[in-house]
This record gives sequence, C-alpha cells and structure tokens, in this order.
Amino acid sequence: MGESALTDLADIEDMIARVALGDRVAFDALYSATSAKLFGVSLRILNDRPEAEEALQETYVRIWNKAASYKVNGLSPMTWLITVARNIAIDRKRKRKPDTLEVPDVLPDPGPGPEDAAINADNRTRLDACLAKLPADHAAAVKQAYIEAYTYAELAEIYGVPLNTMRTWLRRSLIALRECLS
Amino acid sequence: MADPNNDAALAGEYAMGLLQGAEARVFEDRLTREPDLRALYAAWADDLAVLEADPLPAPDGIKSAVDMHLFGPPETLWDKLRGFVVLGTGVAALAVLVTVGVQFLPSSADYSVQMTADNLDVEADVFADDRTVRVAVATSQAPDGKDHELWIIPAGQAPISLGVLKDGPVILPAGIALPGAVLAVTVEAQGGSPNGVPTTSPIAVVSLDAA
Repeated sequence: MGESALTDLADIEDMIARVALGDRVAFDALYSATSAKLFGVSLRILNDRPEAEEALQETYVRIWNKAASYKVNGLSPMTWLITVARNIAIDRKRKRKPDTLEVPDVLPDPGPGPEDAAINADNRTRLDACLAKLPADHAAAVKQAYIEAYTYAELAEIYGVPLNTMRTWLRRSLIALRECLS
Repeated sequence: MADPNNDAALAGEYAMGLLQGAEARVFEDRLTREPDLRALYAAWADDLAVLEADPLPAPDGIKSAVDMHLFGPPETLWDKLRGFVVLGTGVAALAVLVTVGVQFLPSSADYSVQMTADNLDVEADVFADDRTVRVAVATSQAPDGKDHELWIIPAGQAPISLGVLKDGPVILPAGIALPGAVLAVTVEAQGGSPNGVPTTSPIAVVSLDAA
C-alpha cells in the first residue's frame, strides 16, 4: 500500500465510517488515499486498462453504497476495499467470453517478484516464508490463483492436471499455509 | 460440519475467489452465522492482501464519473458550498464569504440573519408562517452593470431565486423546508441571472440553522 506512509489504517477506517454517513468530503479523501492501490488490483486481474478503469468506477460506487456494512465480515479497512475491488474485477473477468481468456504459455515467476508491494513487509515476509515451505509448484498455484484470480478450471489447464487434482492440491496447500500463518 | 481443516481450506478458497455459484452462496450464508468462520475468512483476506499489486495512479476522470453516477450532474460551486454550510465548517475558509450566526429573536421572525461582504450589508428576517423574507438593505453596491441577487437553497436542493436584492418583503415559494436552508447573495447581470440559476459563486451566505 504505497499511500500507507501518508494515510494510515485508522484514517482509512475513519473515512469509511464517514462515507457510511454520506460524507462526500470523506469520500473524496478516501478516493485520493486508496484509488491507486485499487486501480492496481483491478488492472492486474483484468489486464486491460479500459476495463480496469470501468471496474474502478464500479468499485467506488459500491464502496459508497456499502460503506455502512464494511465491518460485517471483520475485515481490516484496507482489506475490505481490496476485496470490493477484487470481487468486481473477478466478476467482470469471468463474464468475458471464454475465448478472450488468456492462459499464459509460460508460467509467471512464482517468486516474490515486482508485485512485492506489501501492505506491510513483515506480513509479506511471513507469507513468503510459509509459501516457501510448500512444494514450489503448489506455492506458485496458490499465488496465481489469488493474483490472477484464476478459476480451478483455468488452473487445471495451466498445470495440465485434472480439475479435481488441482483442487485437492490447492486445498492441501491452503491447510498447510493456514497452519503456518497462524 | 465444522472440520477445522476443511474450514481453513474453504475460507481460503473463498478469499481467493475460487468458490463459485452454490458453493460460494453456502459459504456466505455460513459467514453470517459463524463468527469463527468469519475470523478465519478475515485472516485469509488480510494475509493474502499482501500479494496485491503495486499502486498505480488511476487516470483522471474516474472520480468525476463515480460522482456523476452517484450524485448526478457535476458538482457546482453551490453544491460544494452547501456541503460546507451543512457541515458547519469550512465556511470561514472561503475568504470571500462572511457569515453571521442566526439568532432566534423574541419577535415573530423565525430566523433573523445578516449577510455582509464588500459593498454588501443586508439583514433578513424570515417568517415561516407567512413564507416571507423581510429584507433590509443597508449597503448593496454591485459592480457597474451588475446586480446583487438573493437566493434560498433548501437543504439538498438547487438554489431558488428570490430576485434582485432590494428592500422589502419577498414571498418564498410554497413547500420550502426552512431548517437547514441557506440564504445567499451572488453578483449577476443587471436584472438578475437570465436563466434562474446562479452564474457566479456567492459573495455572502448564511445558514438558517446555524444558531
């Protein structure tokens, strides 16, 4: 979260609370503080600038409309915003015609990579350390599933395994990860 | 149903967007009822969020498109001003504006307000029952070829012209909610704004519930 130096999480939580009350000044401030982060989220999933821009618009419309309910699932404020952006981008991606899906020929680098824009470096280090304990291809699949928002069907195709096998891999990896992270 | 391993995996799958259709609905239904599952999901969402992309400045125009969608046509200075007045803050930051607090008088006026600015000094008594604003102009010197125009802005609505500023009573349109309304003065073409909407930002403004 590049803006974290300027706007800490308590500020964002406060802005969301004020947006829930219909405060447009707070909405402007929230947009300024978080739109770059959420645009990054949208663009990486959609990989198409115009569509990511539309998704970002939709994201802030939903943030305005749903701000009052953000605490329901117990997410931290920034995670909630990211989740809204992700869900909208994922919905759009999955509504595309199947033939526009691009399944890369070459697997993206499963390492930490340039996307290393951690919400906080400690958490990133912790996650990377736990991912490193998984078999390399399993760790890569977990990261890709999240980062590219692939479906099980897409992952199965990329890794050349049956869908059920893919799901078993991934669930086993998630259980190991959760144990390591907790 | 709560195999802890199964739930750990399920919450992770949900946080990643891997649950679809009926499976996702069932999980969401459980989320509303099971605090432990909510905590598990929140932990996954927070942990995975560190994988997110670098921030990338969003192109210009997105926010105004959002505002257009949510709030209608682009915000005018009047809308912004109303926001300031309703919030009760920031008016002082608009250096051109001079506002004076509203006082409830023992007389029959519901609100008695004063608006002052350069070359402007006006008192207005608002009588709710009579739907009347009694205007007393001490000073009103608009630039050459211009007039001062008086407006009332009911909370959340567009400005309504009360005509070129002059001494005497002005009848308010029926159905105006006075609490939260704003009186304002702008500089307009001689005879008042030609199209019934303010063409400049106000030089003075006062809220009717600022007492």
